[in-house]
Amino acid sequence: MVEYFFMFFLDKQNNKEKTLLTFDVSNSLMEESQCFTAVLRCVDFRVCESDHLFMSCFLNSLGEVSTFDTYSWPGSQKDVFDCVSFRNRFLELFEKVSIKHHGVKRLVVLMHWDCAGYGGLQDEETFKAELARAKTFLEDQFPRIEIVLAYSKAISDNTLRYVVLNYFMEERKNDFHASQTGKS
Amino acid sequence: MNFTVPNDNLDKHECPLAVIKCVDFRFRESDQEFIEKGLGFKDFDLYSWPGSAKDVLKNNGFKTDFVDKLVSVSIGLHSVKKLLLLWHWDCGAYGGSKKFASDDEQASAYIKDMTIVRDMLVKELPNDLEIIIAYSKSGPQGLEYIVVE
Repeated sequence: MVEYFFMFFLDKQNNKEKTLLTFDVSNSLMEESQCFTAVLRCVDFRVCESDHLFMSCFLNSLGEVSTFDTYSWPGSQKDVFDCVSFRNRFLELFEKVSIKHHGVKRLVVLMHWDCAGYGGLQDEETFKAELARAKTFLEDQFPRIEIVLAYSKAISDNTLRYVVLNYFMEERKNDFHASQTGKS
Repeated sequence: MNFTVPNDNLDKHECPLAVIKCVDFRFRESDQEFIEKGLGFKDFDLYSWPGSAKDVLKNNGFKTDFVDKLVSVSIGLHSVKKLLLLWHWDCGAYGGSKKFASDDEQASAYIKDMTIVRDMLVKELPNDLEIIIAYSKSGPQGLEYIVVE
């Protein structure tokens, strides 16, 4: 149960700054320290909610809880290739925060239909080529991380189809759980 | 493997808000709830980066890249009018809550950095972009989100 408390324009007694609003939200994850998946996605507001829903559905289909670190940057993985400073920061922080701190074992690289970072790209072959390029690079950087490739495609005015490339669920599910338990 | 997901935003072109928040999985849903129900924004560009915008304080190119993307994508393309800088409790970029002697010390550290980042970004971004700063804090209900001036 979530309860909300609004308190507008209250001066804090002990600090100089003024509190403009407080809002309480329940959170059952504060004591958690690990998640096994991260996603790299675009910032675009149009696909924010559906991207998160896709991630939850994808992880649930693998029998996993739907918790994941979210990296959001315009164009998703595009700046890994186009911007040296972004690439350096991403590689450093993904390893430090997600792999070492949260125990992430899998990175989902997610592109979206009509992405402005690619000039409104709506071509599936280009999606596949760009994602394959990302997979080659990221697997080289993080050989112990499973790289999953996915993109969304509009199939009607209000529906997106999320395509996960070359993913064989049962096989990967078994591999992933084996890696968690240290079995070969 | 395919998943079909409903989406009512495909024909939209503008949103009022951009948010930068941390990547931490523990805060994804509660941050979303705060932004939607606490602040009243359903649609927003979401930038997620470790430590939120704390990297603005470092000399690693983040400030320049972030400002460029905000101006070209969120402001230029999506007509964003507000930017929310959102920090969270127990943030790994600060070493977690254990690095602070008290809750007050932790809150003060977040507020200090958020304020400096805001003041740095104000100089780089268009004058009519309103910057909001907020952080979450552990409380009896779970998390308390606090918007400060």
